[in-house]
Amino acid sequence: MPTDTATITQLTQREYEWGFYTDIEEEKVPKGLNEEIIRTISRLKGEPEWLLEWRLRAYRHWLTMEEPRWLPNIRYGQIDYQDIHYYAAPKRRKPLASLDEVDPEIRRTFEKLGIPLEEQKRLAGVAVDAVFDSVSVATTYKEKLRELGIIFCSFSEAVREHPELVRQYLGSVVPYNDNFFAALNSAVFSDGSFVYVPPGVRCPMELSTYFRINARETGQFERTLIIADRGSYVSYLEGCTAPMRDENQLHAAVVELIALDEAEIKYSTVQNWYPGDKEGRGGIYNFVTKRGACRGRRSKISWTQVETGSAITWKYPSVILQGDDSVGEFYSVAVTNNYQQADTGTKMIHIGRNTRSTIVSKGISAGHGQNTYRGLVKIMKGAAYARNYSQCDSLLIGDKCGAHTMPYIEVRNATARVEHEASTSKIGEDQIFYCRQRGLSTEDAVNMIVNGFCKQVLLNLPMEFAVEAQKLLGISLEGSVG
Amino acid sequence: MPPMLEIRDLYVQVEGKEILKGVNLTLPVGQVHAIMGPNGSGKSTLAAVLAGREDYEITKGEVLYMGRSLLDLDPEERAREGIFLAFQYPVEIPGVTNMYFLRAAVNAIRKHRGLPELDAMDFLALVREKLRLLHMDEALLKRSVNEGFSGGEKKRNEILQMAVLEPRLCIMDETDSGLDIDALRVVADGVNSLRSPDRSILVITHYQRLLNYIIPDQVHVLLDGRIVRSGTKELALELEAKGYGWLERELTVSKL
Amino acid sequence: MLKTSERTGDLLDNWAAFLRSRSVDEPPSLRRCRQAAAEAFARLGYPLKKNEDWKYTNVSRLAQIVWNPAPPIERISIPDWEAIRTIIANGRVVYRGGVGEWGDKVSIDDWDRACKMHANFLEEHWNQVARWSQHPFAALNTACFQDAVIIRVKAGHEINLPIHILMHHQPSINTGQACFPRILIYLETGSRATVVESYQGGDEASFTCGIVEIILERFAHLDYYKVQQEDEHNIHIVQTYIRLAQGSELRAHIVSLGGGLVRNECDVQLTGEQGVCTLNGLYLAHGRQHVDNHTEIEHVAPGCVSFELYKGILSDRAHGVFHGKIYVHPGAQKTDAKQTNQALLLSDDAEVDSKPQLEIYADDVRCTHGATVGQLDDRQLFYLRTRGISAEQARNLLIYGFAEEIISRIHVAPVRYQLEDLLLAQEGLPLESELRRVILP
Repeated sequence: MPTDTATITQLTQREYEWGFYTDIEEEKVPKGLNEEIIRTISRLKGEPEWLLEWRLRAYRHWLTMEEPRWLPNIRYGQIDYQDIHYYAAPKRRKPLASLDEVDPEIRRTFEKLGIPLEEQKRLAGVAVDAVFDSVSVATTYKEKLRELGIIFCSFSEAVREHPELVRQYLGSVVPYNDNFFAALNSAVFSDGSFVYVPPGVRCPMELSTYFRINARETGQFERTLIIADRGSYVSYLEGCTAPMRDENQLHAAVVELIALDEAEIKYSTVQNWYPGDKEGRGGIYNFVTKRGACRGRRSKISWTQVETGSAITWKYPSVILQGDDSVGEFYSVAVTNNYQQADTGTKMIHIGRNTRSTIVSKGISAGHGQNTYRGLVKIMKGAAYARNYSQCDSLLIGDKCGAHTMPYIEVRNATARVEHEASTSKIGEDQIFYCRQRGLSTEDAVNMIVNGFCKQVLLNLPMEFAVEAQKLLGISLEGSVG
Repeated sequence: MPPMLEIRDLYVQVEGKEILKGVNLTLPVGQVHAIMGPNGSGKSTLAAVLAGREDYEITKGEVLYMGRSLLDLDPEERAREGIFLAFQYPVEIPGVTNMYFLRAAVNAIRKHRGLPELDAMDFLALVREKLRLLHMDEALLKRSVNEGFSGGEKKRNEILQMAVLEPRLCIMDETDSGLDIDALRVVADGVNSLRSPDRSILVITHYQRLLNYIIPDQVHVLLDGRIVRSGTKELALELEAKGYGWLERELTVSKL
Repeated sequence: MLKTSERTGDLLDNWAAFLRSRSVDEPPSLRRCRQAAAEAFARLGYPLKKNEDWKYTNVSRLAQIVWNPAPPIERISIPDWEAIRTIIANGRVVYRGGVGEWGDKVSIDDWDRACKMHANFLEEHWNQVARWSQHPFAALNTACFQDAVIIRVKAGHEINLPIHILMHHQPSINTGQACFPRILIYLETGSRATVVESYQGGDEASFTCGIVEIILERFAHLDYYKVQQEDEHNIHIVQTYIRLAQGSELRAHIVSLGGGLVRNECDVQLTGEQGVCTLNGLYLAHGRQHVDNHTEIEHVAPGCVSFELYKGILSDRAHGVFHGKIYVHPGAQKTDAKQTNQALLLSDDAEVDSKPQLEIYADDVRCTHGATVGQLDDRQLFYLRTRGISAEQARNLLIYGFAEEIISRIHVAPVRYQLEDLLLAQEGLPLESELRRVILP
């Protein structure tokens, strides 16, 4: 399409805004991975013996596993697992008495990212847990939540303060031997967020974790565990950024959600890790395992994700629908521009009766980006009257990118109804032209069209994030029209 | 001679919710009765129960059809015995032509009545005659049952089936809904042509309009699952003028 | 149990001896091809479940049997509907009906004759679209086929009479009897034809492993039918490889009624602009039948259209599998691809797996796929019953209605009537075909 080449060149050269590096004294364990390193991490975090044992079991299992190379559409370079620091933390001398004691450098970092940690500037209605490299540096609104019995803290703190809950649920949805990266995470995870909502409590504010990779040559392996007890409700958001670097950095997180009877968890992600430069150098390898278990009847888990960052994303936030009448949802927007690759989707495993799931996936490919939806809908024998509806749409911008749709549908119960629809099409030239004729710039037109294309998903984001996500979409696609 | 239809103290639940709460109604042979009522009063439930819908639970009461209990019969047995329901929302059946469907139905019913099955030629002759009667295009026969039909075509197709199957009891569930005045007239003419001394018709409707064309012998008002008033066709006009609110208020007052 | 590799070795040894005993004078390049294919099969072995292409179809029982050549058979009945007919019985061409008035427009040869008379043609077109080096069963067929049918329609001609190839498999040895039918359909520029392939016979110890190659030159047009109605226990694995040149059109109808373990593969390459490919699939499975339809459509050239509609009806403990990949190459702009697959589950123990896939490397395309799994609609059943139709008949009628979209596209009357009668001739339902023959023009 003969669009303004000048504008495009200009736009492609736009830098990743969040790519700065915070110069701060960090404490790192030596590079490499062995049992000693794992013991060191566990010791540094003052963990109980059972957790160390669990880590070691995961590590030993990991040694027997092969790194997945099975995805035909995804290519990535060798990862040298011995060339990574598995633990990096800003140095600090004593435990923090209040948030104001957070290192001013770190505080400035989060401010720059739009996440103020100071009391007076806090985001209204959002409680934030800020994770900087391997550790949680601050959690806001803790007291207020505590009054309701809600536990929202860093994972390390949960291990210290609520070991019985952690022990009961850790690895109960994603076992340590689940897959290569989950095993690695289980062995070396450093920090993350922990949420427990007691029976009948509706969490009055959005809980949010903001992840920041800062240090060089480190991997980030956080672990999130959310438990919604009977009849409770919680909405949780995560955001993430990283500095620009030429080398690839590994992010292998694990998220486990557990919803008991009539509980509901809404989990939203705006993923904006550094995607690499326009030649495909650098960027985060985002290999995460996210899974929720609707254990109770009438429980509900809803995943919403906007994936714009990372060089490579592998991620299949899934729901195991065990409880009768439970509901699983997956709403996703994934954007790949330049040389980004995304292979994302979901698994809906229907076990209970009358379980329902909805999948809406919107993939946008531009530049040389490769975008794959990969999903599984499985209706087990006992899942009478299960229902699934899936819709996967892909939008292509430019002729060098690719869009792929790979659903798997397995039905073992004859009363189930499953419907899957997918489409792939080009961004409408006539739409762009129409907008331009009315005075909009090409990039505004593309933005508008893309936002319209994603609307169904964006509507599911909490307000605070929806605006952010819309802006991100625009920025991620800048320079993509050619 | 027993009445065509006799409903005695009928209670019906749908998904645990009570919809009909003691309906009593007698429809003599050869008469046309109308049941009127606002939305949600239970009109369509009554129609579906008479035709034998299985997801409706009858908790109390009985229904006699020409003196015999109806409720134990399967829907197709009722149809073969001469009950015809003209659906409010006729169902679309892709891939099955109208012609094929109608012939299967006619022959099932004829067989039940001890009549020889119609061969293709005789059947076509019969259908053509009815089509003319209803001013319908023969092309309709080659299309899938109700698929892609306009609202009016669907309703006319119901009347065509009624004419071909020659039932004893016709139940018309809001046949007038969604019809313009011309279509309404065609449908009403079709129904009137089927009036006969040995056939009864139950017209279920929200509005009085249809009753200008199909003049009922009696009108019943269904409110909140009960027949609250019965009368002549003037009752329909009164309802049209005053609205259902009038009866509701009157009932509340009489309860006090 | 022996290892797969030993089984493949036994099988190939048996067949090498068998083939040596025959005296067909094959062109040297084709003989070398056999050898290479045998090596490919020995290397590939029988596919395992972890092979993504065989994820839902387990062929491990094939490896437990050593397959032997089927012996020749004496008598076979010839269908009575009018066609240009060839019959392959137990892997060999046993009957070649005359091409009569069509003689100068079409040639139909067996392998022996084709090797003698058309060696150059074979060198040029044989084995051109089959991917025998990557596919274990294509390799196996290429190594082992005994006989073949080669259909060639001359440029610019239209053959109005269906060309019928009947594949009959009559088991006569107790265990492990295999047939390797092989067909090449070659339509020269601008020609038109209708080919019906039907498969019958077999039992639980027999295996039909076939390859069909279809090459359509520019602006050729083929109406193609594959009707598989073998014994309910027979193993049937047949790959159909299709290449379409510019402006050519294929309309394929893949109907599976029989077979115990059935795998129909359709591998289509649209290599010239404005090619049009339609795949209509229908399968009915009951008992413990396993029917796998595996399709791949590659849009290599721009401006092509592919349209795919598969419908399956599953009862008892039957298992249906659909794999449908649409692959759009870089540069294949203006591709229009639509794929739909629908399964109707009629019993609690029936199962279905579906894997529709889009892989798209060009932007100016319109590609969609849709998949549904469901049951008969209660409202429709009720409606039919209120018209006096019995519950059983109503079910049959709705099942027919589900299949009708495919059946109505079948233009070879005997094939169509057979399907209609099969679906409707129960419980006194009138025959659609009879009705239409009498009444509707």
